[in-house]
Amino acid sequence: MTDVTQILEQIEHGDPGASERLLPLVYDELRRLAAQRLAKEAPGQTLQATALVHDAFVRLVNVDRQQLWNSRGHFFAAAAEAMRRILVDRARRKRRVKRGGDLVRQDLNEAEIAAPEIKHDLLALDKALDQLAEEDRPKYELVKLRFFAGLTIEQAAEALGISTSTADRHWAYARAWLYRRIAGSESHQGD
Amino acid sequence: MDQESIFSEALKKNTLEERARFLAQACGDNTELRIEVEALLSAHDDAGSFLKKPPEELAATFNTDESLSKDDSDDAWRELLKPSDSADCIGTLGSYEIIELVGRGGMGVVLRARDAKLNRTVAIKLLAPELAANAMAVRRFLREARAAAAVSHDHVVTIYAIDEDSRPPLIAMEYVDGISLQQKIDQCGELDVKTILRIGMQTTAGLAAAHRQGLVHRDIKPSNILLENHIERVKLSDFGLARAVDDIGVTRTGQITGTPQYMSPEQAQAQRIDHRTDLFSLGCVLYAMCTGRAAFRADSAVAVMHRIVHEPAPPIRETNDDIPDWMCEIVDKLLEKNPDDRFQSAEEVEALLAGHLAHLQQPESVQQPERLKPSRSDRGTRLSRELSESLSAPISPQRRATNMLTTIGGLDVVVCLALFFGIAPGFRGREIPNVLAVSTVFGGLIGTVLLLSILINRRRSVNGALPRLIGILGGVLALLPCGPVHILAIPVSIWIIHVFWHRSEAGHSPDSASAQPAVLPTRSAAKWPAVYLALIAVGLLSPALEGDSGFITRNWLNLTGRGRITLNVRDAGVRVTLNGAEEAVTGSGTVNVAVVPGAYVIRSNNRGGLLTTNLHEIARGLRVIQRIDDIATGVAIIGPVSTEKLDQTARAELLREYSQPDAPPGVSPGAE
Repeated sequence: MTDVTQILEQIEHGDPGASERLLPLVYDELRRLAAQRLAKEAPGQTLQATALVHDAFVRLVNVDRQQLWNSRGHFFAAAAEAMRRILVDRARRKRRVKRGGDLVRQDLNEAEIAAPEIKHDLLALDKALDQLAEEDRPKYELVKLRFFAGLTIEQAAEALGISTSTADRHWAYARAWLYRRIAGSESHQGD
Repeated sequence: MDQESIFSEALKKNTLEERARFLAQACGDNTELRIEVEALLSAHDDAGSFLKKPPEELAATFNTDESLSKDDSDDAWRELLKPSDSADCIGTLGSYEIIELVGRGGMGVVLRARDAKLNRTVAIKLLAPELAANAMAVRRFLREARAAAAVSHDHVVTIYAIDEDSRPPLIAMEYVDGISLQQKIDQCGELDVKTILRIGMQTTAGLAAAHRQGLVHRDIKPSNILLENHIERVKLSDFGLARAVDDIGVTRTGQITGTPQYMSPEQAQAQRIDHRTDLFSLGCVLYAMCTGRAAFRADSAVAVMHRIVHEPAPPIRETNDDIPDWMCEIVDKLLEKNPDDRFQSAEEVEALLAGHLAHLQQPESVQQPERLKPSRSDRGTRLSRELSESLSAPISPQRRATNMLTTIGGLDVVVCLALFFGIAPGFRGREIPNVLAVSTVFGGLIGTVLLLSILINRRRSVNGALPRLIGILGGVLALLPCGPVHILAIPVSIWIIHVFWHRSEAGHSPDSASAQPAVLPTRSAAKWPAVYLALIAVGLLSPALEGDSGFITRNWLNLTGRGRITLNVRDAGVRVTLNGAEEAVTGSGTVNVAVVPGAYVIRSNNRGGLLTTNLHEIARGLRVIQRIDDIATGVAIIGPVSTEKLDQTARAELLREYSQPDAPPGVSPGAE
């Protein structure tokens, strides 16, 4: 039984501290998987973040144990959080390099860096997500699960313990809310 | 409706007109609300595929990045290599033919290479790019490397060359074919004593050589201790290189450079460092060899450093009780927080370890080295040595606490004894308030119990928990018979025990192997005086709180033959005379009388009508019935248990005297 499975069981049993222990493990696993995948892929290939999350889930969680059903939500929440951090870190670092920051790195695959707008989007999205998390935590969780962990509406609803129709409504609202924030701030973005 | 519901509802409308109409109706006069909702709606319409596509585009910017994984995916250095003609190389770097990557550290990568000029295998250390970019760091790094190159010793990795002109700078050094001590511990767990001694001795020898050159390693840890294959000869590596990293403060994402688990307290607090820092780290390494894991572990680097500075390591015996005492002593001394308390030189340690190893290998011919003199921190000492040490050496907090406890306990006993026997005689002829009597006795009793527990604790230095527990429980038990107020002391004491236990448990993190708490750390000894004081105060004060109705207080008479009592006289008209002194009056009520050893007499003025019950009542109040005589005459002689027994004659005389009406007062039969 992996550590993650153990922690999930602890969450099932109501251990309050268990969720916090989950994130670093998931984070490490995701990074590892990403690096492994990328090492094998040809340069320029894209990597599905959500596929990574599902891979990590399969690897880390013993899906045969039925009692873990409820705690999958925790896993995906942690994985989504980890994925978000990884992606945002990457975007930030890339931006620094582009600006010629003092962390000169032997960055070999400059050609693969995607267009700046997308990077800005992610950082702006990250900021907007923080704001959303403060204003409306449940919607933030939903967005996180859907966008970073790639869950469907139904899966996300189940993980969060809400009805699918509620999830639908929340999703529509949150999207509009976020888009508005980002579109609004884009006009202020210099570089 | 609130903003969100209006939004959701509006979305359901099929045409823009319907939407507009709904909005007008739902928002009414609230133009702000309407503007908000409309902005959201238009955002919704414009959003397109926003958030609908997973963030895969961004993943295109993923590259192989050493911060992503600890595996072999950092190929940045490969780009530096020029192609090579040889079949077995992956490239060349200057005059070195690079064969393979052997390791990755906080500083950069380590490669196995062949020195083409000299045709020997070397290890090449490439400085990591972030460090190489900082010119000052590079300079310092090179200076340290040169100094380290000056150390030539069997147990130190030899540095062959330093190429500062290459980018990044590289160091060519002795290639050690083997694993690191960390890997060995990971594979084998705890090591046996001989191996620990051997590896420890060799490591210390290498350290001593460096210290002689004036170098401080600063980064002694198992991964820097290499073990040559087959012979397991120790080679210390990465000498003096830790400093370069500190200066820059560059960290990888989310990591502190290196592990702080082997840092010394002065390093963790960024204080001045000298060679004794290495000795602390050496102690951590020995500990790791003894137990299979680091001495200071916690969930985060900061927490680890906090434990290094503030908390003692869990005793080795908890994890591995095969480790002999003398080894634990050595490790403990190395792990002293204050550098002045540690061994002062690596040579000292080396000699000690060598001596023990020699003794182990030839027990008959070689004597075991002397056990360590007790350090100033009061572990495992004898009383006399303590005394002389306490006179000469500065007092550590633990010793101070123990002294305090002893003083409190002793004072308490002395005072209570003095009160009881010394002042008590002064009460002769008058009465000692029962309460005071009880207080002194119980205060004294508790003090005695606690003193005893301290003395026991001093002898059994290793496991101080049990004696302390005895002390607490003893104190509580001493209070038990005393009644409700004292009973309250029990849950309070249990709570106190729990709090201190819990605190000491927190000091030993959840990774402690033992299932039960073994040793309360001695630093919590400072809290015990407060506990003991509290118990003594309870013993002294609670009789006062309970007053005369306390159980013991009431029964004091039986125990000691002295005190004051309260009689309840139920019937009207009963007059109580005690030893000729008339105390009671007509009417029912209570009579408060003083009792001193000696017989006494109760007389009722209602001679004929003194009911037996009354006398019994009175007697019961005294609980000291010896005899009840002549109830009909209304006279009873009752004496406390401890009285000198009256003989028949005296008794008869008393009876005769008091049978007369209005017996003269002032006659006090029986001795005082």
